[in-house]
Amino acid sequence: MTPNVHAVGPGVDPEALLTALGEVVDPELGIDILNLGLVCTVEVAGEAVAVEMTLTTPGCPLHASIADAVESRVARVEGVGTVDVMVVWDPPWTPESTSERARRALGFR
Amino acid sequence: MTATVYLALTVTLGFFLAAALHVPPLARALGYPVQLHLTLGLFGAFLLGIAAAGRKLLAMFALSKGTAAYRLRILTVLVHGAVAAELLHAFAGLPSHGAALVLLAAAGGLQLWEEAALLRVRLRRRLELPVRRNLLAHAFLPVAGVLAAAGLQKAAGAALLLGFVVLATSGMQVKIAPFLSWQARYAARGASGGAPLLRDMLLPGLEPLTTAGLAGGAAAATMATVTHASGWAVAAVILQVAGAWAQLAQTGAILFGRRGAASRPPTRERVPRKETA
Repeated sequence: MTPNVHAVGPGVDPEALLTALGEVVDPELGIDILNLGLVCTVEVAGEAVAVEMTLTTPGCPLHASIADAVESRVARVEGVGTVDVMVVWDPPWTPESTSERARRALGFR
Repeated sequence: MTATVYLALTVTLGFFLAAALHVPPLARALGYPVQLHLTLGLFGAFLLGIAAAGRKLLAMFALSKGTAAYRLRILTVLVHGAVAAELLHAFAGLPSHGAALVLLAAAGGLQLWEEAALLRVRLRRRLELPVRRNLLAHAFLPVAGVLAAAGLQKAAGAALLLGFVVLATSGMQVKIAPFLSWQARYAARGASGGAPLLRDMLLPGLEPLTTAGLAGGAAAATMATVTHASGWAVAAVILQVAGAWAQLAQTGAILFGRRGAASRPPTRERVPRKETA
């Protein structure tokens, strides 16, 4: 899954947002959430950033921790004022969302 | 939820059974429905609990997608039926114990089918050792079935309790405890970097010892019950104690170990993105 980044107006560098998101690692799988394909969309409106993401399994016990980590990382990006992280289950995560490197690391079939 | 209710009933009936040994009027009223007690505990509490939790946990750890839930529903009905049959056998004197065994065998078969279905659709080819220990536990289900069919009830009970229940729960405990410990100890650090991965919280060398000890001990205890040979009993004790201490040491490492961010995730691939402005 390629995250869609919608940036409206100047102030926040989309590349810096992706770098920040790439620093959030799923501690069970050991892969960052971008390579896992967990980030669905990133909306930037002025200083406000909204991240829509999913997890590999509904009911994952790390739900809150990963969402908090995303919020914390993105909040540190220059120009970001508020961060809203929403975990969604529709569309569900699929292995096709992951990068080739992540698939190799996880030994996907 | 159902498994928890059965667990409470198992403990309550166990209390009454123990009390009946010392209170003759209670013993006359209750009898000694040990088959009912075993059915409540091993199947009502443990099989249902392991099946329900396993459906979620194995799917999560193996990244299994898309199995149907009907097997678990049927399994639950079968266990309810077996408990009812044992109740009728114990308190109404009906010859329904055989029917209970048939229902339990069917429930065990469904659990094997469910695990196989979860494995068939898993995305992760390599499963970690605690998960494999949970899967190994299921090998004791058919063993217990064969022993029960041969009339070796105590041996079947040993295979179920020490083999299936202990291996299944110990495997998943080693997978679940790091989640809980990580959240309590590292969640805040995770946000700012430097938190260990869950697998870094384990002492990997202990896992083979735990699996070999607990699985070998369960097999030896089952053999000891079948053959009444003291050699098997001694082997069972040694292996079980070794496995149990390894499990305890692993739990201590998870809860109190000091681990840094030992495992580095793979470097982020350049992910192409769409951007609109």
